[in-house]
Amino acid sequence: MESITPYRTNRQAHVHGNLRSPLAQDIQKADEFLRANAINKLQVIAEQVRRLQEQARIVLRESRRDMDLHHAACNFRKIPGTIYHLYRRPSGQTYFSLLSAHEWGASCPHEYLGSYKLQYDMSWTPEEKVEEKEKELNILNNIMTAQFAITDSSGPNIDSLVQDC
Amino acid sequence: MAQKPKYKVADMSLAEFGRKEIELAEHEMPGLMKMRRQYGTTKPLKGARIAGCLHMTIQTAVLIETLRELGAEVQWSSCNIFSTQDHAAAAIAKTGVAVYAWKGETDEEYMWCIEQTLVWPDGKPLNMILDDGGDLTGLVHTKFSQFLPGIRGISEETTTGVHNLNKMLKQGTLKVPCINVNDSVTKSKFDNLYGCRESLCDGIKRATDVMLAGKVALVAGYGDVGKGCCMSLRGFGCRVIVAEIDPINALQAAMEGYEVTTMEAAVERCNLFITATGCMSIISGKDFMRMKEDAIVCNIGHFDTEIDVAWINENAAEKIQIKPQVRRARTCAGDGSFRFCDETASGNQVLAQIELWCNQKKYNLGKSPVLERLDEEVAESHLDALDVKLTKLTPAQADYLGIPIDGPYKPEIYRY
Repeated sequence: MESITPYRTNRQAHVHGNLRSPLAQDIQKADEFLRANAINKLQVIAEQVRRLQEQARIVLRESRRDMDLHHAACNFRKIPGTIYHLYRRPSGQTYFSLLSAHEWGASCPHEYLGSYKLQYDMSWTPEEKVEEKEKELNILNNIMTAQFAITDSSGPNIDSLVQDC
Repeated sequence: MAQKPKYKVADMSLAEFGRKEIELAEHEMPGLMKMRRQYGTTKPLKGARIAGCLHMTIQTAVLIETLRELGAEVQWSSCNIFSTQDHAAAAIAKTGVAVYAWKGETDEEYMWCIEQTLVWPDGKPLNMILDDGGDLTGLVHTKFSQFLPGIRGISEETTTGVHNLNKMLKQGTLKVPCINVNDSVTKSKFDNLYGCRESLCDGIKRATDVMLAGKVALVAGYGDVGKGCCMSLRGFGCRVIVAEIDPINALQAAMEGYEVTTMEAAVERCNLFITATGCMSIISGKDFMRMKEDAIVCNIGHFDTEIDVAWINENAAEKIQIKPQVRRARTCAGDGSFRFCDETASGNQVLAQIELWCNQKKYNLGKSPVLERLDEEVAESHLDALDVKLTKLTPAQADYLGIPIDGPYKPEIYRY
């Protein structure tokens, strides 16, 4: 049987009809707030995921580059902490040299590809990023030192960490 | 030329270790140390700018420091892309010597290193050459011939280099007087004979761990190297057989009590084969087929052509690498030359440099052997350390023999 007064039984109609009661308005507002809030939180997470993805990509790219660099031809023992210089022969073979393009001067025999510093963890840092990397390592070193220095203290140590950074 | 680096070595952190080894080596190199005492105050090499191209090893480090002590300025590169001892190079670099050498150079880097030694930071070029193998000499004669007029002399260390100098002399391209250190008695008869006597069995034992006593060993070639090998094998209790083409050397071997026969006749009886001929195809496929099980084959000659390695590669059922290059008994399996003998060669280099620097006018263009007197001086510089007491001629005796009291004692044709 069809109702004669649809307004009373159909909330949809109620809302669409713009005849909102305060109660209904509250519910709607809550819905909107919660949705916005969730979206905000999701946005942060999405941002984080994007960053993690990007980081993962960088890690993969760098580890592949590092591996490739370790496989470049080289007749001497590579010492961590030293900058080596990469060249390519006409045959396509890449190799490391102790000599920079500057040291070769005009007599540089092969195509110069770049200079890299071998780190103590066997990773490579391109020469132009060495300074930046060193700064970062120094900061991390300071944190390590600070951590060790305050291990006996019972209080929280976040402040000192943040200050060091 | 761009501003060159002060030095180029693999790893400066090895300098301290290198210094310790140099100090140890000094005790084993009494000849050079005596020259430092004898010439250290007069500085006969003052003004000499020596470009050196010789294996950058600990022994060479002692040579370099001797040259500097005698007043010379020195810049150094290695004459082999693999022979540099990185700790020796680091220790020398630390003393302020411009040294360009590391183990594992490419061919291009090798030439770059030599080129760095030609001009001093103040722009003055070299005026003396100390060479091993002739690459530095060759480079200066071709690419940097503008420096030739200023160079007083070359002292050359090895057979290969001397061969090259002879060729240049014949072609008329040699422009500097040379002294051939290789021909000196105190080089060939010491480095070759006593050096190999000491290092052959050391090399075999390091590579294989076998017991030598009771084994039958065949030594192909009874020259200076072969003689040294025979002596040391016999010392360990081997029964030694010699193969020789020269009747004089064959007779010498027989008079020493060795059996002399051919490879063909002896191959089935021998446990150990040493080639020391400087020739090719001494041990071939048909010899390998007749050898005993577990025979040891090694080459102590300069080149690796004496043993038919290609045949082994083709025909061996299985090849197992024990250590890299366990095929050259001397410089690869063992630790190379021994200091005392290496040093007799270094002593010759020092005296040759002094002689060429101070008595330039005496030397015509071309090649001179090390003078007898220098040879005797090198030998004499070692006697104290070995506690050898030398007998002195009286004037009457000298007069009777018709030779000077202080030498030279032997006529030029004398063969030691």
